[in-house]
Amino acid sequence: MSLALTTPDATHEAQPPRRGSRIIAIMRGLLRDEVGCIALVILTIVLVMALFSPLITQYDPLFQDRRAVLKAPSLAHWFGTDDIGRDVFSRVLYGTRISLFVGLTVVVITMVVGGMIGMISGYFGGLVDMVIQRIVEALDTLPSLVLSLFIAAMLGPSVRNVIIAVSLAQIPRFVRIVRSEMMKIRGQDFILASKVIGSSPLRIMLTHGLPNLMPTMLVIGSLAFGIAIMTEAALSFLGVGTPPPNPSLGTMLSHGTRFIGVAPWLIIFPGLMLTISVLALNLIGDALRDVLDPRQR
Amino acid sequence: MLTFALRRAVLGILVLITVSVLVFVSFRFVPGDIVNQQLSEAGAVTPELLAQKRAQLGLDKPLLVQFTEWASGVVTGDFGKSLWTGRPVANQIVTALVPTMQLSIVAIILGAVLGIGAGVAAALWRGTPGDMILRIVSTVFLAIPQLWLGLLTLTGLAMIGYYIPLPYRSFSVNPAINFQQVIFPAVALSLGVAAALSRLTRSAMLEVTGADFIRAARARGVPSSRLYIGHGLKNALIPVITLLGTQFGNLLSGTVIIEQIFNIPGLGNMLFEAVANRDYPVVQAAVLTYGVITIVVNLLVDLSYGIVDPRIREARS
Repeated sequence: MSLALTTPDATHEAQPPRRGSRIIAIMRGLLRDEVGCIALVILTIVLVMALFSPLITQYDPLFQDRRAVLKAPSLAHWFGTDDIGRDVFSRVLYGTRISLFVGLTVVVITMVVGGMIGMISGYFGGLVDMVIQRIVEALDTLPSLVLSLFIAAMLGPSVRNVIIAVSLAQIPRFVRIVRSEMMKIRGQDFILASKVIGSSPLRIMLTHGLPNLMPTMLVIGSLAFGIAIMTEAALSFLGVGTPPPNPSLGTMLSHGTRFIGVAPWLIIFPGLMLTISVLALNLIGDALRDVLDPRQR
Repeated sequence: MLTFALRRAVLGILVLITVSVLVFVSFRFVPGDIVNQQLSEAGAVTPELLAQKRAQLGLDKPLLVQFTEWASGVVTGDFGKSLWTGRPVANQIVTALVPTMQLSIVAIILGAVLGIGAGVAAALWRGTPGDMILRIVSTVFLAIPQLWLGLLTLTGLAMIGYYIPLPYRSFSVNPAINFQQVIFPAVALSLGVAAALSRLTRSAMLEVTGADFIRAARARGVPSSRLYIGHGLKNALIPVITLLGTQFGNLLSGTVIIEQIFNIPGLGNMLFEAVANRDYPVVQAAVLTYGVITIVVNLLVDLSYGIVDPRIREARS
């Protein structure tokens, strides 16, 4: 374990955070962690498959080859074909692309919005905190998929609406965690010192709050990424997510239910890709927790 | 203990009011109401006809009046009538709640038994291949979406030529068929819960078994089975119960999907259709029901802390 990582708080107080070196330090920590290594390898494979899908497969995910309908996996079609002759392998690759895009956007939105609201709630306290907490509590009372389903079905199926629906269901949890972390550091000396020299609340939150909350936010962010991917698939499965003909993993699974027992590859491969992506992100979360917060070990 | 429970119940009702207001307001701001949905199929729709229909359903009144009327009905147990079918919403909710609760309760029990069992086993076998395997399995199962697990279950059953009988029958009508319809989705739902619980149980057990009072008990010659279950698990139980409560929420999310896959006419199914139809009273009631379930579960979790740990009981009274 590198020295800089074992004492994350101390480094902030001693010197202004240098972003580049910090990211490198985190990466180095992940590579030194057994689980982190495995997770990074899996995630890289998934990312390469999603980003370079046109180079990996020669099939168009929307092309319908009527001479190859419901074919089992073979050398020509690695993951088989569906009922209108589309190549499942290329659909899985392009579907992963959409999943990762939705997941990443959701995480960024959740971290920015949830982080901001959480910091404001935790820093100011009082009436602001009260109002925010009551709303968060109310949203938290609904199971996350119920909330997402409600919002997505209300707004209608589109990639943008899925992102909104999934983000709104993730934000409350984020707000709660960031708020409690912010409350922990609110009374510490370096914040008081900053207040004394006349820093505005915004400045304090951005220069002192954010760097100290970043480790926590990264850990829950990577877990939220996985949850977002699963929720996107669930919404698409229910028909209120990514609209066809976009090859979404959830839509593919829902399509596959019509051929259960006849063409299991329509169910196995999209789900497998989904699971592998979530697994990699969960493992990254686990490893990040170990790297960033050695006390919890 | 009683005052504590009462105070929590009052807070819960306040949360439910907030939920209702949020749902009520957000739902009405979205374009395309039920009148549009219902009349979109009929041709020659005049603005007058739309207005007349809205007046008939009471949708032309100011939002505040609509909400007050709805809320005063709810207090007396009247959730209104479905705008779509005209049936009382309360009946519909109760009918849909039974399969959902049956599924969730069977799943949470299965998940708790499996998860806590696996967690204790992994803690006992710490560092052995058995521990390793259990940890890998639970990490993997934590990443498998309930959606896929449900579909894999169906695929697997179809492969061995078994098909779950349809349509859905409630337990009171036909227990044998109901059992076949509930057990598979419940197992599919429980595995994720078990995975999360086993990871936490393992680490909580390891933390407790390192404590002095366990060493003291061992020195007194307490047999190791009683040492781990009676002394260790009992003291590791608080975080496990907390997680069990959170997992119940995840489980409810899962039922929405699992009900769809296994054709179970539960609450998730009902909510899904009602949102698509813009059937406001049904949506309101379904969302509120989910809220009530969550609040009751959280209350039970809080009360059980007192049962497990006498110190918490003392502090509360």
